[in-house]
Amino acid sequence: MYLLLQQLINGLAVGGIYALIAIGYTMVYGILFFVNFAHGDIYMLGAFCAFFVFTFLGIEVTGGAITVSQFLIALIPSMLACAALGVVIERFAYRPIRNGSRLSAMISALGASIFLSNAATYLFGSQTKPMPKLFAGKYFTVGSATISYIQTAVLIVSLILMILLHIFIKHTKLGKAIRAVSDDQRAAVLMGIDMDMVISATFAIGSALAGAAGIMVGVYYASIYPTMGGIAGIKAFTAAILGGIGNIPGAMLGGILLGIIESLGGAYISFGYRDAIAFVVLIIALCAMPTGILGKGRS
Amino acid sequence: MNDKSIALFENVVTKYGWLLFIIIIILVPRFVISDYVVHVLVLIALYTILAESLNVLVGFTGQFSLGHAGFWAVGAYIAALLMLRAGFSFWTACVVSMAAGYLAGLFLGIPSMRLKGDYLCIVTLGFGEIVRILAMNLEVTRGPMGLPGIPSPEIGEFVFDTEKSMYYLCWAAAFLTIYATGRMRHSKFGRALMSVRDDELAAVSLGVNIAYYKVHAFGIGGMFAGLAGALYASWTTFISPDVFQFSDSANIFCMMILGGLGTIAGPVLGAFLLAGLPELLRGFAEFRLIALGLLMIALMIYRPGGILGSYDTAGGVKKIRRRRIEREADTNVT
Repeated sequence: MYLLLQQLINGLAVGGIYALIAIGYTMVYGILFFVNFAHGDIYMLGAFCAFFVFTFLGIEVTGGAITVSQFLIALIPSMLACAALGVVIERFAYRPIRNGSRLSAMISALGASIFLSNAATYLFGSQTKPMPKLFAGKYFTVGSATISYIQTAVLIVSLILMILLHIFIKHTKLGKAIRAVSDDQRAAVLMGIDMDMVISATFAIGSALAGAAGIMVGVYYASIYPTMGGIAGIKAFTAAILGGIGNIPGAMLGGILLGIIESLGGAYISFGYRDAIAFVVLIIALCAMPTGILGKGRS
Repeated sequence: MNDKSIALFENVVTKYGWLLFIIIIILVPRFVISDYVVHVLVLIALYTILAESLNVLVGFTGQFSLGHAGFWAVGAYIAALLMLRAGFSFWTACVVSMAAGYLAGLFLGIPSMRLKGDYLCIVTLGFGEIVRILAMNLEVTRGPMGLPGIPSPEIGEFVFDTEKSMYYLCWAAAFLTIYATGRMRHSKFGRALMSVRDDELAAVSLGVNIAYYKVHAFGIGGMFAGLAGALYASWTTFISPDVFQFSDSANIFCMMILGGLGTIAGPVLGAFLLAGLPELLRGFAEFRLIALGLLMIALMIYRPGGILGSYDTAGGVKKIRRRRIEREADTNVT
């Protein structure tokens, strides 16, 4: 029982991060129907951006600690930088081939991913960089399970961002435009919606959330490296598919579910097979429900 | 150039191009002394087999797969284990790993009967990762320590233990793969695969058993990847799970696309570009992968069909495909 509770909590924290990244995949897919492989690398650059903000502020990065306000000070510029980067990538790598096949969009995305992760390796060096910790060593206990402050913080920040996104999508004009474009592109354009603007906004929002996920992973594990985007990107893409790609609540649900499945599998079956368990569950889930949990059935 | 001269050019190229290519490949070791260059060319031969076999899946049948390194790993590990633990000769081990690749392909092909597009992408990607994680955790594969000391192939007294001997063996296998896929394209089997790609509904109505062809496309793709795996294992004499990452699957996929999807010469060209060019640019080690990323984006913008794309595929088929893709995109949202 203790193990179960503990692993559920660990899974929720990791799942929140997966969910934040998965939202970006799902939003882009909902509008452009291709998998933005560069998304994981934007998440990585978000973490590095925070690293430079911390260094700029003169915070000890190796084994150092930060306060909540310092965390927020780093969070905002990182999210903005990632948003800008997402828009730039879309402008140069995806917009010229928007009317081409989905396959070329996918290859272009793979190219953008290779470019970003290697440019980061070249600029920042390939070694792992330390990050300061938030709430280092602080925890509280529920029953017999220990919950660290940082886990709670990660979960709360992810939830706040997801709620903000939900309000934005449901209740603002731009959010409505995004929904319209993902429902029916042709009709949306006929209603006078500026496609380019909507697509740029989608990339900006998705990338900003990925950047937020990057900095949270940075302070959670206290280390970052240029290739961290690869596996996190694959996991988040898995989460997006699990929840039903193109569907934002689906990505949130898929992310949290994947996080929980992974931690439970890692604890009860075998830690080494943790990643494999997530994929096996995914394959079985897809064969049983080919459109994901919340995905709409294909006509 | 007008249409007539293009047609003439194509004719000459298709008639004598392969012959010329084979002659060049045979002659290269005579003039190249550096073992390093030969080493890179062996790598290109192996990637040619992999890209060509993936082409059967993606180019012919239209089934996306981002897990080709998984089949490669299956072949390499099966061959290595049979040679190291059971004392099989390379040739038997090679045949068994091709069979294993075929079975793995059939196994992975089963979900493909229900899934397509991006869903199939993620399932195949998952397959590749699962194989790698198994190799990482199983006792028999010795996890991250890998399997060292894999023996070289032998015929009687002759041992393929130099770069040059492996060069000939691997290119022979590569040409076998190229020939087989080239013949397949014009066979009943190949035409059935392409009909599944172009329009499933039309294929069914003409009596093509879609499930059978999809699953067997995976099987054949896996079989040749298994061959590449067996060759790779006994060429490098050491394999570990690090070799067979997702990035390799993506790399193989890009080779096929850059060269020209669904063509025979395309994957060969792609293998030369993506496996050879980075080695040529070793002097600029830091920049070569950055440049590769930019090259991929630029190619997709200016030549989305791949470098050889427009030569080999008929324009009409392409148009149909694009329309089908658009239709699929439309139905995905509704």
